[in-house]
Amino acid sequence: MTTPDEAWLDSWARVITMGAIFQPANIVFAAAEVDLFSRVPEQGATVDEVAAAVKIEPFGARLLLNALTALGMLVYREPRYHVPPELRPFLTPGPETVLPNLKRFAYENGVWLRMARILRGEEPAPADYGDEFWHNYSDKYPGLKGFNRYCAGKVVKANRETITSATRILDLGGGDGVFAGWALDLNPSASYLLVELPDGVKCQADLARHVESGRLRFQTGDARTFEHEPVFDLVVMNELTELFTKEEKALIVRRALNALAPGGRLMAIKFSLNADGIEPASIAMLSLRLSLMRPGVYLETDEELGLIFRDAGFDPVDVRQVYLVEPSAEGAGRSKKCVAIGRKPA
Amino acid sequence: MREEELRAVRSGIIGACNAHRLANLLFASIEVGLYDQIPEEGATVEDIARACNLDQTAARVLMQSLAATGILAAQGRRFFLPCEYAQFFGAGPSSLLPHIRLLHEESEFWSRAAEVLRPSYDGPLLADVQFRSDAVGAYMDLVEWNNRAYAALLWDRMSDLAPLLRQVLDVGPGYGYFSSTLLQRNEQVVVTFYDLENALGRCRQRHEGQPYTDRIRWECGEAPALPYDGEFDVVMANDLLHYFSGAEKLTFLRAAHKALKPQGRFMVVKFHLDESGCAPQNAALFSLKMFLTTHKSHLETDEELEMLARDAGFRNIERIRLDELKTLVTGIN
Repeated sequence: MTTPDEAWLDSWARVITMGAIFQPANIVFAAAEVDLFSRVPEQGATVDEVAAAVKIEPFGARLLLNALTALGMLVYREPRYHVPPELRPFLTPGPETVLPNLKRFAYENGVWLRMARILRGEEPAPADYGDEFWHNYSDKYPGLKGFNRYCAGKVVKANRETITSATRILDLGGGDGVFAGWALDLNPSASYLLVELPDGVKCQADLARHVESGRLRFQTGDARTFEHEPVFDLVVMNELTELFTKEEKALIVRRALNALAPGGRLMAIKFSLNADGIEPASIAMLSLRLSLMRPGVYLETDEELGLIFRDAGFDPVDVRQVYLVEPSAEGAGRSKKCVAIGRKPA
Repeated sequence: MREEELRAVRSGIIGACNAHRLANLLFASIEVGLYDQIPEEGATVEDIARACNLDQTAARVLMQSLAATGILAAQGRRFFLPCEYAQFFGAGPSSLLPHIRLLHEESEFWSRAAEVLRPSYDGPLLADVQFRSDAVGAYMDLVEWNNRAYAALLWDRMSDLAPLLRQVLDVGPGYGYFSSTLLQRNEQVVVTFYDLENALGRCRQRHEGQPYTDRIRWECGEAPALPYDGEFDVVMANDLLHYFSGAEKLTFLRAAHKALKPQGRFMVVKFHLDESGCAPQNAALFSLKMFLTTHKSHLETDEELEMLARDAGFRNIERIRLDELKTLVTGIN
C-alpha cells in the first residue's frame, strides 16, 4: 500500500517528468536536423566519421551519439555506431521515412514553446504553422498519407451503402485523394468532383485511371465559399471541419447542404472526440494543436458535429464511430473515426 | 519484419518525438497563470478565459488537453486541480512553478541543440540561465531533490571513516546535505563549504540556527582553483565534476590531492555512467545536457573518473555503486 510520502513523491515525479519530457524529443530532432542517421552507413560509423560528416566537433558528436544510443535509436558496437536495421527504413531517406515528420515536430516544438503568447493573441503562430493540415501534404509526408489512406478505407467500407447509392459525389477538401480512390473503386457508377484549394490536388497520378475515364474531375475552390447547383447525392468532407472555427464549421455545412439534391446526404469524417472534449487524450491534444493555427480553430466533439448538422437543416442525422483497429487491440490512441451522416430533406 | 511490427516501431519514434507537446502544454498553462485561477470549487472555461485573458476556444482546448493528461480533472462544466497536484501548482513550499519555468527555459536551449553542438556556436548558454540570481534557487532545489537521499547512503557506506574525521572540505555543496548529515553524526568534525558566492549564500541560509552551524566555515571560489595545502582529512565533490571540461576535472583533482593531509581521502558521488557512455539512459542524456549547458563539460564515465584520479596522484581508488543511478568514487592521497 502506498504511504502518503510515496504518493507525494509519485505525484511530484509525474509533474517533473512531464516538464522534462522534451529532452529525448530534442535529441532526436537535433540528429534529424544535422542529418545524422543518413550519415551512418550499414556497416556503422565511428565518432570521428560522424562528426566530420555532420560538421560537429567529435566531443559533442560523441555525447549526441551516446544519447541516441541510450534512447535506442542507435546501437554501439565499439568503435562504431549503427542504425538498428528495424529503424533504418524510418530514419533514412526512402518511402517509409519519417525524417520529414521529425523535422516538422521540431518546428512545431519551437511554436509550442510560445504557446501561451499565441493562445493569448499576443503573437501569431508562424504563417506556415499547420501547413500540413491546410495544404496537401501527401508529397512531403508519405507515411502520413499511408495512414490516412488506411483510415479512409475503413470508413468507406463501413459506409458502403451510403457510397454505393450515390451517382454524383462532391468531395470538399479531399486533395490527397485517399477517400476518392476508395469511393470510386467501390462505386463504379459514380462520378466524382473533387474541390481543393489552389495547388492542393496531388492525387492525379494515383487516380489517373479515374481521371482518364472521365469519372473524376477536379475544381479549385474553398469550402467556405463554394457554390454549386443542388445536384449531388453525396457530399464528403474528410478531415475538413476541424480546420475551421465554430462559425466556419456551420458555414461549410450549410454550403454542402446547398449543393445537395433533395434527399442527398452529407458525410463528414474526423477523429472521434468524446462529448467532454477530453478523450481520447491524443485527440484532445490534436484539438490544441489545431487551435494554434489561428484563433478560434478546434476539433469539435462528435456530439457537436451532430448538432451542427441538425442546425443546418439535415434530418435525420446519424453520428457513429468507426474503429480503425479492433477495440481489443493494444495502443492506437487515434483508434476511432467519427462519421456524421445527415440527409437533406426531400 | 511484419507490418504490425513496422507500424509499432514507427509509432515508437513518432511518440517519442511528439512527447514535447506534453511539456509545452504544462509550460503554457503556467505561463498564462491558469492554476492561480482555479479555486477548490473548480472553474469553468468562461472563468478561466476571463481571468487569464484568453478567448474561450483557446481556454477550452487548453483545459481539455490538461484534463486529457490528468493534470486537471473535469466534472460537468467545471475543471479542478486534483488534490494530489494542488500543492505543486500553488504558491506554498512544495510549489513546482519556479522549477517548471526553469525547465521551460531549458527546453528553449534543447530546441536549438543542433546549433549549440556546432563548434562555431557562441550564443547564450543554459548555465547563464541556471545560475541567474532569480533562477539559481529553483535550480539548486531540483539538484537537491535528485540527490539528497544519497547523503545518508554515502555516510552509511563510510560509517567506519565518518567518526574519525576532523576537517572536511565540501566543494560545490549545493545546499550542503552531504555535510549536514556528517555534521549530525560526528560532533567533532569541522566542514568547510567552498562554492561560488551566489550558491554559498543560499546554503548559508539553509543552515542558520542549526546546532552544528559553528562548525561550518564558508569560503568562496572557483572549484578548479582550490587554494589549500595539506589541511583536510576528506575532500568531497559530489555531483560537481560534470560542470567541468576534461582538463578542468584533472586540474581540480590535482588541487584536491594537494588540499588533503597525507592518507586523506577524496570522495565523489556522481551519476553512474558505464564505459560506453551510453547507459544508463538518464546519465547519457544528462551528459549531453551538461554539454549544452556549458559548451565544454560532460558527465564523465565512472572509469574515466578513476583514470583521472590516478593521473592526479590518488591511489587505492575504488568505485562503489550506491544504487543503480549513483556511484561513489573514492581514493587515498
